[in-house]
Amino acid sequence: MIGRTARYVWVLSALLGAGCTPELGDVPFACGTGGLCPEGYSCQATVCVRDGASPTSRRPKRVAWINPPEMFWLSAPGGGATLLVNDGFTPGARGIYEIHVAPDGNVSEPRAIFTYGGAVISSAVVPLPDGRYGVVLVRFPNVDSDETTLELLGIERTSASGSTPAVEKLFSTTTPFLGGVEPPYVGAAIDGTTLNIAWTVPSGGGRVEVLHLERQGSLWNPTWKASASLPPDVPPLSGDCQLFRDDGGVLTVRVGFESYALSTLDPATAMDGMVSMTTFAPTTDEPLFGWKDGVFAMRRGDYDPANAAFAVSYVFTPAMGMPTEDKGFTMPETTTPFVGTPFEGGALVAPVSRDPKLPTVDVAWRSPTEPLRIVASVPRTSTGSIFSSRAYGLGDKAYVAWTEFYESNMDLWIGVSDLRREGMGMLLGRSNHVRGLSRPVGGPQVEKAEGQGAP
Amino acid sequence: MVAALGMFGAGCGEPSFGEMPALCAEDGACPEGYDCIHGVCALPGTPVPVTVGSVPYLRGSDMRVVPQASGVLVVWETYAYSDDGQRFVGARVSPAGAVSPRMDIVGRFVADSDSLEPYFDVLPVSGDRVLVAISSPSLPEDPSVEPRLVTYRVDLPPEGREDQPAAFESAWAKEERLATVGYGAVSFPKLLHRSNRVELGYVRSRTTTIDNNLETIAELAIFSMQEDGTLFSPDPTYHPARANLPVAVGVLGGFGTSTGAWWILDNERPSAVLLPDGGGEAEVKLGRLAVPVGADDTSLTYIEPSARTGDKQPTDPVSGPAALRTVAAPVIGDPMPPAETSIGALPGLRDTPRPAWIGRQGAKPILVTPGEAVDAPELMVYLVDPASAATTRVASIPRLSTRTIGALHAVLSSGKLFVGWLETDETSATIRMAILPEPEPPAAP
Repeated sequence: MIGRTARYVWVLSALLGAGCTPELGDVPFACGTGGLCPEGYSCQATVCVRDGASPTSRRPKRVAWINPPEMFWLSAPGGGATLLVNDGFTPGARGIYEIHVAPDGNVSEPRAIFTYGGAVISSAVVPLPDGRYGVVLVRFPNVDSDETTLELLGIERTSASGSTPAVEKLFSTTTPFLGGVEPPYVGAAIDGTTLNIAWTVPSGGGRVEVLHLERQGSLWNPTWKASASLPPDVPPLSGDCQLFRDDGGVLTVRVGFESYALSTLDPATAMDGMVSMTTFAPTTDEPLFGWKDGVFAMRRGDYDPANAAFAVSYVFTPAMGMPTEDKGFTMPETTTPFVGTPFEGGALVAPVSRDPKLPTVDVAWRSPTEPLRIVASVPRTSTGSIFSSRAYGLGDKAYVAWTEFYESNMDLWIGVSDLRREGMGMLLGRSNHVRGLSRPVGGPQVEKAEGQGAP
Repeated sequence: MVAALGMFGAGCGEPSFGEMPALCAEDGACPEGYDCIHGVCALPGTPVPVTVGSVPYLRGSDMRVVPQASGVLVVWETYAYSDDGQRFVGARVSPAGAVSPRMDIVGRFVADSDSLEPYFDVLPVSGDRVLVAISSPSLPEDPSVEPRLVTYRVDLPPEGREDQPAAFESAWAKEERLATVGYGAVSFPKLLHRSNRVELGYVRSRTTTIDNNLETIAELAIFSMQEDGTLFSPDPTYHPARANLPVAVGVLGGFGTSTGAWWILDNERPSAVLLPDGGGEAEVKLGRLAVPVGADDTSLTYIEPSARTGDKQPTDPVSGPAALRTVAAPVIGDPMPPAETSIGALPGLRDTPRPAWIGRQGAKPILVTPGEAVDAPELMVYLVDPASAATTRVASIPRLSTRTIGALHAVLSSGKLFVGWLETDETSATIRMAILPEPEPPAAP
């Protein structure tokens, strides 16, 4: 039902005025202009919601496109979480938007914290220690310049109503522009007052640089830079970077677009302004998170044309020892989890499912020492093909954002689920029953499992 | 509509109906003083445009207009994700403005519907034969990301017999794979007729070691072919290019001279590579957004368009005058940039869509442009004095539309000036064409 345009609001209003009382459901359609909804409904985050209803998921934004990495979760002051999303493609509305999500699932209207014209930019967002958003941007030059620019901006989280948040440029650097349509993705990870940024410099054959910035007073200054040459399978203009930081501070850099490679570096070993990165090691899997003790990845298997989905498994490859593989999962061909997010020594990944239709957006958790397990589940009220998803754990809640295709556009959805951390069974890698055929009512469904990966 | 307008003739004086007051009646009738031109009542001689083709979506780079025996051939592309699938199609337009049925030019080409759309170029070589060069990203099942390049030879049906199918085949034994430094870094291909052969220019990019340093470089690859598209040699010649410039670029133009050829690379940060037939190469960096329009053995002439404003994207507004400039041919081995000369100012014109320029022996060049506005309601036709850049506006082509102009081409054929353009909005892309007499043609010998 979601997705009807505002004109239907007028039709239904006429019907209601004529004495008809159709059953519209809890979330029948998008709000009309100015937040218009039928009587008995209110406009919540662009969608008409029946008074008193608490939908399990909300659709705060319809866009032209959101790239897979461009969803970032942070904890919100005062409770709940905040999603920052970079919409680089919607005509006239390009920018980074802030959406607050309450633990009960209520979602605020998107608010632009940074808008831009011109070409698309790639970004990464971290929480700065002073409470601001730390927004890392990579942008191509316009016709007047020859340099690709990387910037770190500090953007205020709160501002007087109706005013534009202040923006401070905290750091910037450039590299010669060698061409391309979109800047490659950039990764960032913060630890208190130190920030690491990973990006690809295409000159000189192409190399990944990790810039280490430290806050010194009011300023952020680079204290060292590490670099490693791109592996042969990653072209210099396609060096998309993601950066994972484990609880010990060890960094794992993932580079690549369709072929990936990994490198690690330990900032604690910095000496005389230098840190070594390991040589990039190619992998045929899709790395989702990295720790000093190993890498967690998704492995694609056979394609099932009947369901337009791949058989997938989840592999943990320890730094020493044999890999552990959890099999029996599926991933629609349009979908990628892209990366995991750190949580309590492990990483959260979504969607993880055995049902190619993804009636729920399930969240899995894995750590170097604990096996894969489903820890949260958000029922969907929509049926579009999922593109990508990002989960975030905070307290006893999992906050999940995902993008779905809708005609020639894309919808951003958000849901909140209880997060199960204790007393969970272990996931059966060779489960002989299919889950997720019916929508769970209430809390998340957790599999009881045994087998591979069980301690 | 015509009948209603006729009422005004019943004693109301001499009303002015404007230049194009109405569509023609079913029998082609129009008010007195107007001619029925392509279905529109218009003042005599008005170049009323015709529609050549319409698709849901078309990039500005994916349209070509080339001369035929008596008219022109318009070629465009349908994409792998469209209902028509990946094809290269076309229609002829006669000097009278009749548009032929659409023909498949290259009716089958394998392209990834989830990847960058292919690029192409078209070159008429003899009779009804054209060559079509196509570049395209790698396919999902390919072991490498190297883009693909191939040339087809196409024998079109005779003019007037477009109900018959064209015959096409690959002129090359296999698709060539060229290095790239990015998944989406696929060069525009450019075909150039050189006396008794055809050359195809393509920019490859790669990483290599130079003086013990790893570098990311570009090279202009030249494939030399017979006029039927058969390669003289499977291996192209490579020429270093784009020093200190972006390397993921395409070939935007080519000019043959008596002693070699100029190849124009990139549109935003263009450069011109001169390849003398005797060997070697020399490159000159051109001004931002420069549009080369002609060349000979000693110099290259180009338009410096009006400056972009706002976010300086291709469709953003422009302001200020344009200019006509020349740059001397670079000397091989000489690091000094060659001399540049300003010829004179041109009326304000934008770089996108690229203005159309036709050089003529014994007559002034023709310049066609919408001017400064990307949605200009009319296209201007100028004659340009190549010695002073002084322009004379000789015609205006009403577009009957304010949709964005995505591309612009102009070709002379059979004493007519054929002006074709692409206009787009969010839901469709339409190729339109206007035909008018060649302005001030050269004097007969």
